[in-house]
Amino acid sequence: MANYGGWVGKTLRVDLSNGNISIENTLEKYKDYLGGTGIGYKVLWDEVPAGTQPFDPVNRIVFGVGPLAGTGAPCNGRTAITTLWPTCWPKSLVASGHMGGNFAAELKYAGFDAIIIYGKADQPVWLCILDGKAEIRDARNLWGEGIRRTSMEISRQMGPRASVAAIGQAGENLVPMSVVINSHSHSAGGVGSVMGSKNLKAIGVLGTGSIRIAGNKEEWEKAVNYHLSLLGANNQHVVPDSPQKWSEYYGPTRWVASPGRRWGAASSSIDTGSCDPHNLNRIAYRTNNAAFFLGERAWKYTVRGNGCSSCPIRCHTILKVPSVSSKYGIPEIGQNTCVGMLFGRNFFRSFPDGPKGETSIEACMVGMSLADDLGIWDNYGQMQRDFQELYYSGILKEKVGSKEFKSYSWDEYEKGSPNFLFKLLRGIALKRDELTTALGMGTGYHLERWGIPEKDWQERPELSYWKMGHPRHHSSEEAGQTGVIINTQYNRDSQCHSHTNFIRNGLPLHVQKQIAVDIWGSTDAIDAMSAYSPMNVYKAKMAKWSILRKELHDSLSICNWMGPWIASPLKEHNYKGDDSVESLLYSLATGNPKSREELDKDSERIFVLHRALTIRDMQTSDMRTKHDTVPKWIFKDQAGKPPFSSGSSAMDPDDIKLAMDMFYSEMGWDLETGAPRTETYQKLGLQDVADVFDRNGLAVG
Amino acid sequence: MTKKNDGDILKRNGPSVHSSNPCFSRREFLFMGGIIFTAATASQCWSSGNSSLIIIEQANGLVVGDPSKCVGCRRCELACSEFNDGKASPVISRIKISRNLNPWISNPGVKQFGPGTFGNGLVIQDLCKQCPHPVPCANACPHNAIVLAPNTKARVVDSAKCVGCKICQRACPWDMISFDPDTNRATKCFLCNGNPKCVAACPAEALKYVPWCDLTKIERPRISPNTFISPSKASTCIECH
Amino acid sequence: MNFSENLLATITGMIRESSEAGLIIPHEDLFEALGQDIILESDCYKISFFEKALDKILEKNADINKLTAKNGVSYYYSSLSMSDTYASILARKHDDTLIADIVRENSQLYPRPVPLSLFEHSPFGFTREQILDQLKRMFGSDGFQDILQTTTSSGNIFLYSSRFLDHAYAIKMAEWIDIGEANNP
Repeated sequence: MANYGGWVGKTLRVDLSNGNISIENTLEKYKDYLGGTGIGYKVLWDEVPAGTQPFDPVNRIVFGVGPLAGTGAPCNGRTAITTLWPTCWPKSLVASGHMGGNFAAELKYAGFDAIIIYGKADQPVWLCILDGKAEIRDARNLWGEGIRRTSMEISRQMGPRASVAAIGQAGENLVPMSVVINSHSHSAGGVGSVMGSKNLKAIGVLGTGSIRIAGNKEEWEKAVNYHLSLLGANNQHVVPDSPQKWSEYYGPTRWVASPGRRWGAASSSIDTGSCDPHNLNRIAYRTNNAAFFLGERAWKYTVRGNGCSSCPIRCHTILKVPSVSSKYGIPEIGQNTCVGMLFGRNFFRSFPDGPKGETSIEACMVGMSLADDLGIWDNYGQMQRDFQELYYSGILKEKVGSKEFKSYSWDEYEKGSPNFLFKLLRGIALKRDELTTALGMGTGYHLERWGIPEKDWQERPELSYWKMGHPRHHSSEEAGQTGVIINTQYNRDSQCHSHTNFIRNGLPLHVQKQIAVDIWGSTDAIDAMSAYSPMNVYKAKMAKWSILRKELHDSLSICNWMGPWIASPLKEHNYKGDDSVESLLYSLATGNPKSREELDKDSERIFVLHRALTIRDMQTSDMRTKHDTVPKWIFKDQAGKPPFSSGSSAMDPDDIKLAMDMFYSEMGWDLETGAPRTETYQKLGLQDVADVFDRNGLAVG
Repeated sequence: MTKKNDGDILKRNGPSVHSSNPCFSRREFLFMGGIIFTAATASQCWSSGNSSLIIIEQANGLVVGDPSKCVGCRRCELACSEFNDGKASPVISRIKISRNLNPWISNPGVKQFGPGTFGNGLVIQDLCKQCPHPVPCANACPHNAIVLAPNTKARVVDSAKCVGCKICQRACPWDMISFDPDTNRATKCFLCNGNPKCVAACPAEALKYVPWCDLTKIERPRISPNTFISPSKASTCIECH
Repeated sequence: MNFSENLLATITGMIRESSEAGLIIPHEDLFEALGQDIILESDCYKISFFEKALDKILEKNADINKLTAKNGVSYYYSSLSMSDTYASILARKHDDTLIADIVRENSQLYPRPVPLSLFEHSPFGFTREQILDQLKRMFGSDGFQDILQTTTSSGNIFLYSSRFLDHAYAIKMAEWIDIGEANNP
């Protein structure tokens, strides 16, 4: 086997039932699947029989990273964790969670591209991975501890450079809405309880190894700097949010740096200033997600940006809010991004001092402090939306019984007091009562337990609920039919950012349309948000492209929350980016030259394998009506405007049928069922899938 | 975007101190407590008069870090090892960030808000101070493998002479000598011949290449070094002290 | 007419420096700074000489641009460090139509409504009172009938121009920018 760079070449296999640890060659087995989710899906296909439940010992949990993880390729910090998803309703199916931080890089330095874990330890353990070796260690003294203390204790044993991915009490107690977290605040949703079911408290990794860059080092330096030159701010927003002296455009983006906006809680306050895109030494100042999400007030509490290993875009913000220490007894320092940052705030409908006042920031601090220690997942904000709806509709009171209901301080809740969160969130992690047990199950199982039909949720746009227990994640509200298609394809929220990061990048529509011509073949691929045109084939091409790029990023270990880089902040390039930057970096790092098209084919193989797993585990090839469903709310506009009118986000049922037809046809799938055909599997090198389906009657001609 | 040529800036503005007296005082010498002084064998491998063995000249510049700006992304470590050595390897990086991301963890007795991600958020960059004479790593090297770079006057490892004994690693009070297991050689900051890759790679302007100044008296040592003077050098020391 | 290279270089340098500092430089400031160095018999002649020097600079340096504000003041900037967009905002800073202009530009170009808060920050830097004053004047006078406002569910005001955006779109986008963006991270 050729000596490739990028990968470190070994995959760790751990059977917790018998303590067997073995090592296999990554490339012999998984090279066609690149890494990350690719390895994850492949392991699940090969090793987890249909009908397995998420907490069965035979279920695998695969921590996969790719050839770019741990290198200097920008934004490579994400570990893909693939397993049978415990909140996927009514039946668990394959899905992946993604955590940033330092874990992915450290795993590579420790000598591994992936960890495949199965079985169940007979008592709590943690997995110690140190320079090419692994050891199962006793975790009885860590069981019951939060994530912070667990991380610190394991780091004390392994050394401060160790990266620790740990579950909290929620994961231990098999609460499906639980996370694994590394590097303080980088979580992957949904998988905490799968670790808990295996009695696996944590994984600590530490390595002194290196990742060889196969290509010439000067070329690599050039390629890395080239990629950096295309970066915008978080989510690849390429224009600033206010007029800057260097900028032709501005808009409502996450590029919030500006003269006068300061990291006010830094040890000496720092002006984020003007961040001319040509100055690669100021990329880290462009983004401050605390300011983006919490408002101007957050600047004074900002210590600095934080984030993943190798990523110059610091999407996590470290906040220092001294008052919370005395008021709530929590650390005055907290950090996270997006829904993690909003975790506490989003339970409340209102605050005494308004939506972006002091109390809302305190609620964020309390929420982060609790959720990231107890290890609770919020399913992209669905837990909080469900909670508000259930409370204000009176359903909650009716379902939990009056004794339990009275045990909560609803007065405090309605007033927007962050104190309310302590009892609620601890309760979720401990499954303390009916309310918290139900919330911790995830929307699908929660609604079922309380006898609420799923369709009730699917009719309400404000609940953002999509299907199978999970919410929309960038669907019709911002990307019309393209967003809808993408949201039909996964077994949890779709987590795809390829489309939304382009649509929301802040450039004028006419500039975006010019780029769309290059990538998807026509200006018709995109519309102004909420001024949608009827379906056309270019939108289907965009949907396919977006999904394949997501899988490519998840497998190479570059961040789909940051990419793709098809637009750039560079006026001299007409704001164009480069859709072959992935291929450039992959080829140089690994020494296995692959064109954009070849990598697209790899990602198609990976995505189609995900599809095959879904078909196999659902025991039906009828994806179209059984899986790729859409909630009713997408056909309604909140202001009652008809589909395809300006200002309307309403979709049209027949048009969505056409959208799915066009998408299936772009994928080369069967139009009636939406299942890949035998020849599609064969073309992608998935003959074994075709054979299995041939035998068990799931094949589609 | 390329940085301004800092090497040039230093040539224009840098103090480029050349000591007129290539010796240090006996007092200064004795001040370094705990020296393992093995002069007896010195003459066997060392003929006095070769001025390259004891580094006297100051470096032209050094890289300094501003911890309040460091965002902990480690791009500097990756630039150092990838662009110089063709591999991503924080442990051979001559700038050290990883080990300071969570320092509080290794010292649980320290107050809660010490530096690091689990502490007050501050990440302190560890950088080579391009020590003035007596240069601990160079003096400790029994193979005279730590020498002056011609342009920058950085203290650099001559990998042709280095045998990988790691004695220099234990001599640096700031634990700034790296060891590359692939080449079996020590490696340390050589200022990238005047254009430090780490400085160019920092996305937060947290690193600067500046005219040399003496940080050795200001920054607390990270480890208790083995203060060791190689036999070959000890005899030279005696010439002045 | 011959200009000393030195004079042209000095003026060009001043323009570039001020752009670098985030400012556009009015004609008057350039003249004041340099005018006394030009020794000619009459002020009148001096002014015309200076004008011609500026024309020459504009002709020779592709990065140097001139903007003339409504009140007739000319400003200079260098596109090496300043965008046309930014310069044009600065040049109109004292125009009472600035807010309307910006609203129309955004409605036409992107297309989207803009929040009032945009005008509170750099480079506008108006107080809330100043903004509301301007709006009051606009809403009551001819020529601004196209400037309309919509209030989002969290009570923030957005402005748009009905010349370029219809009401439904403006409402939807204002709500999206104000609340939707952060709720759909």
